[in-house]
Order: sequence, then C-alpha cells, then structure tokens
Amino acid sequence: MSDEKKWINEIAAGSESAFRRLYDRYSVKVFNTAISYTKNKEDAEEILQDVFVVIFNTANKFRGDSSVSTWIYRITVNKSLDYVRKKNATKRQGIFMSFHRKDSDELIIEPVDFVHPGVKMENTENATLLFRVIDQLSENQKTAFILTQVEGLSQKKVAEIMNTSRKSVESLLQRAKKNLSKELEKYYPDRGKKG
Amino acid sequence: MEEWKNDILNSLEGMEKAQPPANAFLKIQNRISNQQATKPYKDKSWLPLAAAISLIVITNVFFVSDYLQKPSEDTSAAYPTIISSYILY
Repeated sequence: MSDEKKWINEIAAGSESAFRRLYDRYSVKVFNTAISYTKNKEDAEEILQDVFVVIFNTANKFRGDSSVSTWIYRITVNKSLDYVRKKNATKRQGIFMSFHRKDSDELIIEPVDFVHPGVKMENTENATLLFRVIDQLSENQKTAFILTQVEGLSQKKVAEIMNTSRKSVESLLQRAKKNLSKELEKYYPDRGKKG
Repeated sequence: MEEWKNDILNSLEGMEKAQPPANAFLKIQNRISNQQATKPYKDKSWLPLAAAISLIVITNVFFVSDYLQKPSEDTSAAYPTIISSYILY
C-alpha cells in the first residue's frame, strides 16, 4: 500500500498528523487548480477548505480504485465547477433583475481582470487575456485545458481524473485551443494587425 | 495560427505555483471541529421522540392483543351453557 493510501486510512481513523501530511502535499495543487477556475484568491481558498473538509469526512469511503491524487483532483474539479455554476447563476439572476427594474441605476460590473500570481512578469498581459476567454469554453474543455496547461498534468493523468480515455482528452484539448483561438480573434480583432 | 494567439495560449508556460494563505489549514481544522461539535447534538435530538413513539406503539400492541384474546376465551367457555339452555323438545 502506498504512503498516501496509508494516510487516508489513518485520516479515516481520525489522525490529524496524517491529515496535515496530506494537506502539505496537496494544498498547493488544490489551490492552484481552484484559482484557475475561480480567478479569485478568496474563492480559491474557500474551495481549498471545502476540498479538505470533504477529504476528512469521506476518507473512510475511499475504496482505493484510483490513486489518492486522482481522487483529490476529482473532488477539486467538481467543487470548482459547482462554484462556477453557482456564481454564473447568481450573475444571470442579477442581470435578469436589472432588466426588470426599469428605474434601476444598477451597473453591470464586468469582472476584474485576473492576474495569476505565478505567471512570469513578461507574460502577465497575455495570461490576463487568456484567463478572460477561458470562461467561454465548455466545462470539459476547460478542465482538460486547466489540468494540462496550467497544472502541467499528463493527458493520461487527466484522463483518469475525468474518467475518460486519453484520446478524448487529446480531442478536448485540441477543441479547447481552437475555441480559445476563435474567442481571442472575436475579443481582440485588432490585436493581429499591430506591428 | 497567428503568432500573437500562440503567444497568448503559451503564456502560462514556466508559471510558478501560487501559495495558499498560511492560516488555511487552521481554518479547515476549525471547520472540522465545529461540525464534530454540532453532530452529537443532532444525532441525539431524535432519540426522545423515537422512544416516545416506540412506547406508544408497544403499549397499543399490548392492549389490542390483550383485548382480542379475552372475548375468544369467554365465548368458548359460554357455548356449552347456551347450548344446554336451549332445549327444543
């Protein structure tokens, strides 16, 4: 049995030291995955907390069919997608309400540009543009893109996390890049004409 | 694909990892201990109600079965007397 599976058994028995070891190994990965979906540090921290509470509560149900890292990434992706869905629903409701309140002076506030804290200084502007269009992707394309391009996971690993084949991940990734390219053209039609 | 789009799509290369806040683990521990503190109360809250319902059901079953048993004993005992008292000839 791997170290991590032993830790999960210990966590199921209530061990705080095993929980801390697992947190030290995975908190950065969970936080970075979540921040790519939420594009906000505070919300990513909320997801980080949710994920580790779920791990603590369901450690006794972990069957070991997949690796511990696959299991943790699955929880993280699901929590992040749930969060984005809820946030989009709230945003849609806000827009709907402002349509129906004719006397409302409410402004539809565009999201603030997200600058990922780990991006290289020289890439900041381009990365900001990229994160602005990532939201236009479908959930599966977004997940395949974030896990391979941002998290740097292999297509095989992403296939395990998404419970699909490596070929499907490859295809999702190709479509994601094609769609991102189209979105970039749509959002910044003058960009290519520069220089 | 045009170069500017490639530059944007590859802008995350060599990116460093963002660090979660230092006190995040403490917050997680607090959330877990809070949920553990509220659990026993929730689990026990239904016990008095369940006990009261069980008592009512058991008492009713006892009395109903007792009531149903009594008349059958009485009638079987009463038959010979009734039959003997009705002499038709």
